[in-house]
Amino acid sequence: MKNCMKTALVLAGLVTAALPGFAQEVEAGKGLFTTCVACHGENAEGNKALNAPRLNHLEPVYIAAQLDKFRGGIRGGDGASASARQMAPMAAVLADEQAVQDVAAYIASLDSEPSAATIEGDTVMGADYYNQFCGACHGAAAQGNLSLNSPRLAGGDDWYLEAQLLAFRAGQRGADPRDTTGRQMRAMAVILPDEQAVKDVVAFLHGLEQ
Amino acid sequence: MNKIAVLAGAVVLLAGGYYLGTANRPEPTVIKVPSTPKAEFVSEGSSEVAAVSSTVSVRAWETPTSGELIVVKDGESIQEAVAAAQPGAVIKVMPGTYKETVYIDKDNITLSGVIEEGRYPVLEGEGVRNDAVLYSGNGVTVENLYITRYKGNAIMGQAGNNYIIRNNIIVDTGVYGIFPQLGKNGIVAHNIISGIEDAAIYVGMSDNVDVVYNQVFDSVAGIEIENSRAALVEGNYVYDNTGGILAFITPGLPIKTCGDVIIRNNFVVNNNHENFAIPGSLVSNIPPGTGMLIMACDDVVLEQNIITGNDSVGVLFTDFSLVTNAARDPDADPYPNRPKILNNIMQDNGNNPAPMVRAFLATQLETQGPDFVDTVGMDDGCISHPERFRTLGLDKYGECEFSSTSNVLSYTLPEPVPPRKDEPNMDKGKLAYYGVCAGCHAYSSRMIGPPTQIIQALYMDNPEGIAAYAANPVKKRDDYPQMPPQAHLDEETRLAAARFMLDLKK
Repeated sequence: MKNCMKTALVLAGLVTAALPGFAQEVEAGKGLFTTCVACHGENAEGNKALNAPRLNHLEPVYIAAQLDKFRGGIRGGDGASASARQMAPMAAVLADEQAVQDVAAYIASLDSEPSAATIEGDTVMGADYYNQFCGACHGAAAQGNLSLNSPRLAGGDDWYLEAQLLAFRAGQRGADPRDTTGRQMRAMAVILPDEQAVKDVVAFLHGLEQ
Repeated sequence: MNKIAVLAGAVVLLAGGYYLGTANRPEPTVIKVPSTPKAEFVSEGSSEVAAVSSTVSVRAWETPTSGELIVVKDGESIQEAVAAAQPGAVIKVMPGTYKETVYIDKDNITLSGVIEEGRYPVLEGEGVRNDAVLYSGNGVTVENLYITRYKGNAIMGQAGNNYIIRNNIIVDTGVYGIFPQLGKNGIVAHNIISGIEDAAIYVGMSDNVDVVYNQVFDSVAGIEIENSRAALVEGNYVYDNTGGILAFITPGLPIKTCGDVIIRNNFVVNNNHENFAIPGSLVSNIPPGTGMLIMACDDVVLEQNIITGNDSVGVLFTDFSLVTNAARDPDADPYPNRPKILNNIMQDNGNNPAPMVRAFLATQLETQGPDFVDTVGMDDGCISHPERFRTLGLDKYGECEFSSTSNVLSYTLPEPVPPRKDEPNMDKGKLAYYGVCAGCHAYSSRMIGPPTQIIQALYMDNPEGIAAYAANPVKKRDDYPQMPPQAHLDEETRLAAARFMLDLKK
């Protein structure tokens, strides 16, 4: 799936050479991304040891939105988790909105294998929770839904998805009144009855076709 | 290897085999000839009807008329006729093709097709319109129409009481065929319905309804009694659906109970259709080959139904776990209670169970689906002539205290009941949420639309956003159908419903 999308993107890039925007952004983003490599890896494949998640499966618009939140103090500020607070100053390194767009485009042009499973859960229950509460926004195959600002979840690190669900539930993320989409997600994350349910959903997501 | 141990093991195995052999031996059939008549059947519904019926009258009431008659001819608009009508009007629709949605928000309107030599007035949705007939008025009759190719509902009641929906032919109209929602006192009779991807007849959150003498086929769910009380389902021919007749609670709807349902004298035959419901929706969980499904609904009486050729199971009693363990509703009892199985005629059920039924049967060392299955193992049920049927999980059922429900002629009331809007604690927003929104949105579970909890998370303190979206929805989710526009509701009503929706807690 991912490879197909990559191929499609490459083809689109060839066809639309006259439209310089995206290709230029990717090229410009490559230089900016060198700052990120230390934690997120050369291909944005992520590094659990550093709490740095895989990023290359995400849509550029979602990566940019989160970078903007980090830069604006909407995410990773007071009350956020330690790793989110680490990310905030890194995002602030990006000079302007163009830099954000560029690095987001570059990250989305990368590829890697999904990380190995680290969370055990009941995938049947996870599928049930997901169908009832998550899929309406993130899509039946967890492919994300741009019209609802919902990121792709399939292909994400299970440990990171779990950490974020727990952060939403704890109010470490999605509590800032300016964080509209984060507040939406927080309202849904707290519906899961307990932390086992979080594990179940995450285990289900990790088992999806990537 | 120690020979003594082997010998001991063999003895244990032998003893175990002997025990299993005797444990599985059926009880000898007890031949009984009743010496005294059994007690009369009594239920809340039967008492309610008996208390107000001085003479025998079975569904004898009609929509009151004033003498006003409006005739709609081919090429004219039915909706314009409704707009011109006063309460009590009879609107006669001549044969022809009508490409429109009709919304009746007035009381005592009779919308009646004129049939000439088999030619009907046809409401044609062309695969683009959502609903053929919607009514929110009380005392509405909809009859003699041929409705086809709508995407949402053929006929939907939105909190209208004292309704009559009869003699309609409904072919391929999307999600629901006939769908009275939040109606008290209604008749759904002599309709022919097919090709519906959820329920052909869907009685939702209603009371005192007779669903009688309908022909229902090629749909996912044939007849569905959901979160309703005092329902009589009688004399219907229900075949070639995924599931034939269903009575159940959907968790997360604002009315939390289902009960007092008499299902009798129906033909429930060959309901083996492939399940073509929207994946992930509640009815997508119905195993093909299910004659009847009773999920969490109480006091369901099954009497003299002919239930044959359903490949998974004749009748399945079960709890919420069939459809979901994740969607919870602390206010709704997930288990069925007090089932009452009188004589029914069963043949050739369970010959080719669906995979999920086959898996369940394997745990019971069975391969053929039974006539009756109770996955809960209720201890308050009763069954007449248990020896006649292949059953699973009915070990704790006793003998029924009554042998017939024939004293109940109807669960409808002989006099019209007051409108819902006059009920205490019923404001405009609540009425619209119950009567319209809850048709597709449950609080905590996925129906046709996303759960209310998700809408609350998305909109939070923005009811205006919901009201605006509902008037003019756009498709956002590839695995949910597009929401039909609710622009027939005025802005004030939409906003009130949105506010109610955002404040809802269960």
